[in-house]
Amino acid sequence: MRIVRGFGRFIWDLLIGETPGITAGVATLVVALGVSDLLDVSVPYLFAPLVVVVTLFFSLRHQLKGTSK
Amino acid sequence: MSTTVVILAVALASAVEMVEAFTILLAVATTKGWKTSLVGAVSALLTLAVIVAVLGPALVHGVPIYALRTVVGVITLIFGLQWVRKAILRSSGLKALHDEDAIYEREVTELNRSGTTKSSVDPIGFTVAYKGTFLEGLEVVIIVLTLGTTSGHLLTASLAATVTALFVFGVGATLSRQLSKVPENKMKMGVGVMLISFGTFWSAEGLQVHWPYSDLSIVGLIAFYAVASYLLVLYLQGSRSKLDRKIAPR
Repeated sequence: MRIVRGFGRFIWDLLIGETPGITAGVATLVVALGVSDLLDVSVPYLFAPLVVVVTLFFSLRHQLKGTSK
Repeated sequence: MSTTVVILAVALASAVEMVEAFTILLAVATTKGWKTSLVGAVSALLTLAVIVAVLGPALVHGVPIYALRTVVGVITLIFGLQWVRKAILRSSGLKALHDEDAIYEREVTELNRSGTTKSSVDPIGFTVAYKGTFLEGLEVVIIVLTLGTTSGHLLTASLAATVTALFVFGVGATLSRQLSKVPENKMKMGVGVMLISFGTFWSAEGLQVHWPYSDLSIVGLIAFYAVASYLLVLYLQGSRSKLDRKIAPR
């Protein structure tokens, strides 16, 4: 049980840890790409880099606000 | 082309992490001797090699390619974003730069406090050397596994990581001092940009998105993310100096 809990904690720290916003942004990207495939959007590849940069921007802004408090 | 970028990304990631590992190994060597330090490091590297040897083929042969690309793309993207975020925060001064000298001093003080043993391999020194190399190397292993399996160059990626690690350890051991002059943050930023480029490419391709010019679009993504990261550093530097002016007493 301890090993399972330890492994779960390791995966949590690796993929979410201190940056849950980044994981949420990437999850949004996956959903957006899945939906765009279903709806047959003409240029779905343009979404991906935009969502990534917006995710990074909000994550950094969140950190900046945290620092200024 | 993508093979070269994969090798470059793996080599840079390995260099960044092994500089950190070497600082710990040098602290162990100084206090407990080179034998303890080397036995710890080699044991950790062997454990990491076993992980790659077991997980690599299992991933390649056991998971369908589209599912593998999506999962690996998502993990690479999250990993890369964490690296770039940290590098941007350090470049803009919002987070302290990684200080190898301070880490070295801290490790030496702690190891001196633990005393000496009569055995040729000190158990505490071995544990510190093993843990340091294993934990720093684990990030490299994840990068090797993700980039290597998806691009179909697992062996090349593993070799690139191993050769770089040996090179860093060789240079460090020859100089006999911690490698604090290595531009670690710039390298971390470079690796992070490459990881998010590969991550974007694969996660989208795994979800049936077709990129214009196929693999060549990775170069476009690298350029786009490099510019975006630079602009984000400028944005944070500007916001920080505004904040400093507000806080500073008149």
